[in-house]
Amino acid sequence: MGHIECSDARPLVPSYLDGELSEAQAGPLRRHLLDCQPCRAGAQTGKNLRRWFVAGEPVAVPRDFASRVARLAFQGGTVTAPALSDFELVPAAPPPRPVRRQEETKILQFVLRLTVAAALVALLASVAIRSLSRPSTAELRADDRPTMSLDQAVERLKLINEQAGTAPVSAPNAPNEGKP
Amino acid sequence: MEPRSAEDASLVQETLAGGQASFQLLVERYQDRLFALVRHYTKDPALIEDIVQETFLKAFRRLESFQHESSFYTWIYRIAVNTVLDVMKRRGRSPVTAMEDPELATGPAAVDTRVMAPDARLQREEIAGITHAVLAELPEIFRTVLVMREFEEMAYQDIADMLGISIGTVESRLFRARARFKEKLLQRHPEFGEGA
Repeated sequence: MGHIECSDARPLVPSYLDGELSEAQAGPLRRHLLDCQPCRAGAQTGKNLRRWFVAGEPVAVPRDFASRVARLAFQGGTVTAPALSDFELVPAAPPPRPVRRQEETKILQFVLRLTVAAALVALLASVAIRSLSRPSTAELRADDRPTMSLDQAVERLKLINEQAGTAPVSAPNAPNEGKP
Repeated sequence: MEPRSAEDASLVQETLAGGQASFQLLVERYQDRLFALVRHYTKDPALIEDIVQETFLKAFRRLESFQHESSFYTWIYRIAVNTVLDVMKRRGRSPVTAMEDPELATGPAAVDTRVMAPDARLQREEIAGITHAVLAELPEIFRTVLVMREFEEMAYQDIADMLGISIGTVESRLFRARARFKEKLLQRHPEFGEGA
């Protein structure tokens, strides 16, 4: 295979740049690219494009990652032979809970328990404060004068009447007293 | 068998025999590469860690099915890619729709558009940032082949084996993926178009 046309050359360029062509294919293409400026420009664009694919800074792997994963793997049970091929996913089996998630769950549970306990304490405290600050029946009376018995009241009324020079008032338990 | 593969095979056997330390060594051997791989799909460090951890745990559960026909890394890489795609799907990040099937889509307008190499003044991290942002706009099916080819430098045959597709499909998918990448790159940064 000596000479190739542009229409044959163009589809081969990406594979050529990826090093996927045999020498039997690459040789004629190389010669074509030397002669054909438009195809050479296309190949240059392919080269330019691949220069965009640069890896960023390495990802920081947590220091204890491997030990955590190994521990989790062995805590999860014995190694068993799966029925599925390597490429298949396991849709039915739930994904293992990551160690970090388990730690977060423990912390969350602790915070939740703490919150419930705090809420209970606050509730009890509010009930106690409320009952202590509630006024008694006596404190709620409209008449705040000191209480007296009926006899004391009659005696006091008599005294007032005497001071006023009026006739004494009969006691309520003697309704006919003082009548003609 | 290469020394590294032989060591991996031995670590696998020891793990199957109950050696937790051996499994830890396997994790240590490949954790960096898997973290780097998953970073192409998400920038969230917690999610990256979760996906890599899930990958290793899946590998552990299936360890007896590892037949040593491929390298341990190829085997676990395949699990990682599937785990990533599964997680992305669960999170609703699956832009491939029936309306826009990347395999059936007609050639993008930018196929013949020239694109320049990154400006020499750009820092490596800046280029990586731009590339990551553009990749994030691509359907996973395109992003996956680009990551495998451009970052992992995998051969077409390995990509085909990994994804269970033919070499012809790898070629066409890569062609479309690059065209789409170029299109999105120039949409975001028209200054990198030749003649701009």
